[in-house]
Amino acid sequence: MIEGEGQSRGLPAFERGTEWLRGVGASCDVVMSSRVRLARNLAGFVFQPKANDEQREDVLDRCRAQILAGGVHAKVMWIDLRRIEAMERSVLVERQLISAQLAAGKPAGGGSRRGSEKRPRGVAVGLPDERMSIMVNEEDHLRMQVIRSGLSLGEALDEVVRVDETLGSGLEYAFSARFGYLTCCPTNVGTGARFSVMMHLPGLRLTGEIEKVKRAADDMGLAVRGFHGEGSETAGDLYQLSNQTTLGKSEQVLLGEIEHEIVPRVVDYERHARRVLMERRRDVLEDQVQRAIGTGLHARLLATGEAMAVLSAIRLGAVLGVAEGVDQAAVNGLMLSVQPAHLQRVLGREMSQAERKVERATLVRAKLGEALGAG
Amino acid sequence: MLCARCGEREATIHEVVIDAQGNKAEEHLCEVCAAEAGLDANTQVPIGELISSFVVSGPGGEAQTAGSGRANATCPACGTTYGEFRRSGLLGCAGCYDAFEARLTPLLQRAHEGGTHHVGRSPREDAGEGADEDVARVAQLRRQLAEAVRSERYERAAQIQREIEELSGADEGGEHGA
Repeated sequence: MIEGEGQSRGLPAFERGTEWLRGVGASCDVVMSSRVRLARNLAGFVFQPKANDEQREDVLDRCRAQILAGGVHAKVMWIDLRRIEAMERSVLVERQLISAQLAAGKPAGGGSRRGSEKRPRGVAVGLPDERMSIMVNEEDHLRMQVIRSGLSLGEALDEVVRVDETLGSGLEYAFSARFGYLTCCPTNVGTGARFSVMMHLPGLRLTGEIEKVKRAADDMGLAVRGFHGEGSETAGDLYQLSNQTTLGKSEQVLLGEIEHEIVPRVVDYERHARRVLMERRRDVLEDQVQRAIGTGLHARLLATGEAMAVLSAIRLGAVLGVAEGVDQAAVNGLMLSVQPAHLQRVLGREMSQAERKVERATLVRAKLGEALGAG
Repeated sequence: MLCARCGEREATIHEVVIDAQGNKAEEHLCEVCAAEAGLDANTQVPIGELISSFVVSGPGGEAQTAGSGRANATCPACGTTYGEFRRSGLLGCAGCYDAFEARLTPLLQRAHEGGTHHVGRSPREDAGEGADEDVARVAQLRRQLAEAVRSERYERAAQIQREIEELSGADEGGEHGA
């Protein structure tokens, strides 16, 4: 077990790709990854908006001790988020291990941001696969999540429940018979469980049906969010679908609704859209894919959004067999490498936005060249 | 329009209070006075307005102040006022759920597709053996309770609630060791 504190500089090498970009598992042509997150608070401690830093420190100490007491994961790294650089925190956000809110130390409830850098908060990351992470002092005292590649919410739930049981054996949670697990925001109360599925929906965008699906998902009580969750923009046609209801339905019922009813429908819509493109608008599809490859191989400046759009189209081409010889794993890997913090991390220095565009284009040219050659 | 209380800040909360006799009175307050000066706790808040103000003031968002607000209810455990909750969408402690229970119920129903009672895992289940039967029974009762509430059979719901309390109360207060 590694404890990140003390080694104040440096995150683990993160040599393996993140779970959400492995691109394997059920329905992985459309579903990138599945995530289950549980929100918990400690009994006897005020929630974030009312806590002072001393109380937060106390919560942090208790949670860290219980996390590091063993049993949550074979190998766990504890990272005190006050002791690493903002850039490193952004790397964790891009790898979906922590929220942007936790990275910034942004006070829950939108209070003053003064001193937020030093707000006591941390994250435990399960290594080497990064499937599990536990955020401490986010909006709730504990937010534990497990991510699995492909459509695999059941396994993710089982795994996160084991983490929850391990932590719950030594920490008393705020819980009431009526309301269930008590959360800072009442929209999470009850099970405290958020089931999210990250889907790649380029077909629906190209056929102009994405808004329809968003509305349908909304009608089914699901939230549709962008790449990095709440409030984020969609990039690379990646969408997160997640439940909004947490009270009055058990974890199993919520799981069943999303994994067996809702997501399969969206997967079917997307596959249908892709079939339509293949059969009736193949020229349009090939044009989109080849233009993306052209941009990726020749552009000299690439913003993150444009790079993601290029990679999305190439991934679609690879899945449909339109882009011959593309190494799909390499394209998946690039979706992470082009993100601002990862780009700067790989190159080992902070860069201006303009510099990043240059370096991003250089990286995509090189890696895409390899990916095309490798196939 | 200036706040009727402090006369300094812009009044952004406009209340229409209808008393038991059906008399209508308007009050125009700034957010600060509405939240802190303490308004009459006995007056009912129009549920529709409450819900809409809850929905538009999501976590981290700025509250919309168009809705009428009875902001004086305060959680005795942490001091969070209902007005604070309305602005931030966040509660201050576990005790807030009890303190604001009546007001939270319609909001929860709205946010959770009609759900008002927890169904699902509980920490006690994790405690393992021992109370397994009770735990299973309580879980079953909770499901029945949710169903009773959904179908608006409130007497039945109250009866189930009492049963749950009896069962849960029996082994309350267990300390979790480290």
